[in-house]
Amino acid sequence: MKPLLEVQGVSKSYGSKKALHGVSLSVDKGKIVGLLGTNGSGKSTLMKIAAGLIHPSAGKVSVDGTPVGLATRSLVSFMPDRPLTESWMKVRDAIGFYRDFYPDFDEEKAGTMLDFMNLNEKDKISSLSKGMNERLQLTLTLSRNAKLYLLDEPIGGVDPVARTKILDAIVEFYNEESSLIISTHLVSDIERIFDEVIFIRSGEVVMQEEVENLRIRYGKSVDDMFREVFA
Amino acid sequence: MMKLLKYDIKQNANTVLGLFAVLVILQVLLSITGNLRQWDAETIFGLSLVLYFTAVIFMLVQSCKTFAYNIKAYHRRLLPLHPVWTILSSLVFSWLVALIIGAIVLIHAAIYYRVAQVQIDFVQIGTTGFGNTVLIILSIVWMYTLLVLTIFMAITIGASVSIRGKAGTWVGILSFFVIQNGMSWVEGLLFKGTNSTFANFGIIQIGMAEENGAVTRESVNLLPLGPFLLEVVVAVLMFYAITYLLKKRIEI
Repeated sequence: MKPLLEVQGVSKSYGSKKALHGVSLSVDKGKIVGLLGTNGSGKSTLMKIAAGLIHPSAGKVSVDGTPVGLATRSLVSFMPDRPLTESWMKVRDAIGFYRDFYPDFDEEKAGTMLDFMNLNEKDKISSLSKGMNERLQLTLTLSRNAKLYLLDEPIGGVDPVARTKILDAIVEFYNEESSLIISTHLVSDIERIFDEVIFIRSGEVVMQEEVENLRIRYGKSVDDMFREVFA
Repeated sequence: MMKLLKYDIKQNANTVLGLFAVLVILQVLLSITGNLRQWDAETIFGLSLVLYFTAVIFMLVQSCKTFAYNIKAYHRRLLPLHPVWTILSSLVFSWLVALIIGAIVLIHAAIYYRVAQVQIDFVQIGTTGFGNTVLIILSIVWMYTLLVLTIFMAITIGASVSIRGKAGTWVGILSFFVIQNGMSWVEGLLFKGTNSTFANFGIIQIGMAEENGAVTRESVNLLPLGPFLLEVVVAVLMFYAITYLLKKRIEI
């Protein structure tokens, strides 16, 4: 079966600083994959490359067999670590923005997710707390019927209640025919939802393993393994 | 493109409407104060022009800020749209705000002429026919468009040079002056001394009515053919370059 995301020998430098070095990995359809690493390990850079926001210095990236570019933007739904909305917007404007530009946006699903997330369409985005804002960004991202979802630090900087709500929403509203990659360093909170994990350190992939194999082969949880690899 | 424009308008609605409101209020205050204190008509007219000019500059800056924001905003860059539409929507937005200022100027002038019946005899614009009046307007629109495109080009170059620090800003400013002066230099080199007129726009005189008889009547040729064609080529090249940089170079 052809992988949904294929990364081959990707390197990325910012001036003299190497953010990624010869990264190769693949993600199959129907998987929830954790992209795990400490701060500055290259997770966000890899996510942005897969989303087509930045270009690799070397190597190739393809989504569903199509090289990353304008054509893959309609296949990928990306939740970056910055807002996907504008400060003047209300929640309903943000929903309208996605409806206007993404043909695969499912407004009914968005409505259900807003209820689940306790978000009100009339709320001004500038008045939302960080946790509520993260919930909105997730709603926008998951309400698209994309093939690949990329969530960059979806639970970073939010309180435990919001964190649980966000994780529940991911499990509840994730489309099983697509794949989901979640980058984070908060492993213990989120490891329950992963099928597979990729450990990235100093811009290099050090491990890609099924969570089940990790437990059987090493007898460790993802969190334990994370601590061992990044200690 | 229209959808992008819709969000550009919504994004700027408060600022733009606020500015237009302030502009109208200041113009009204200027007229009332000027008439109550019996200022010269030329003084009121001059101050009025200064206010309009300031508003145009402010709106131009706002349009360019919108473009700069759009090319760096995640939600805009992630859209499955060709970068051409990003440029066009910002360009149309800049036309739109200029058009509204133009409309305010026309309404203001109409009120002076028709309602208040104020004689503005110190400015006379004489053109040779309706067609040339249209050409004057088109040439002003063209100069404005070229200026906006040059600023967009400079912003894009700046944004593609550096994503961190201030280096990109300085490179952008430098790029603007290089493009402007480069274009003037090439125009001078290619068309100096030639008289290939595209359109002769007649006569514009500014000064007191009684002075106008003595002032040299100068034919204003805003858009000579050669330089105009050169500018069209430069504008097309800039448009292509901005598109290329948005697709290949600008990283956020």
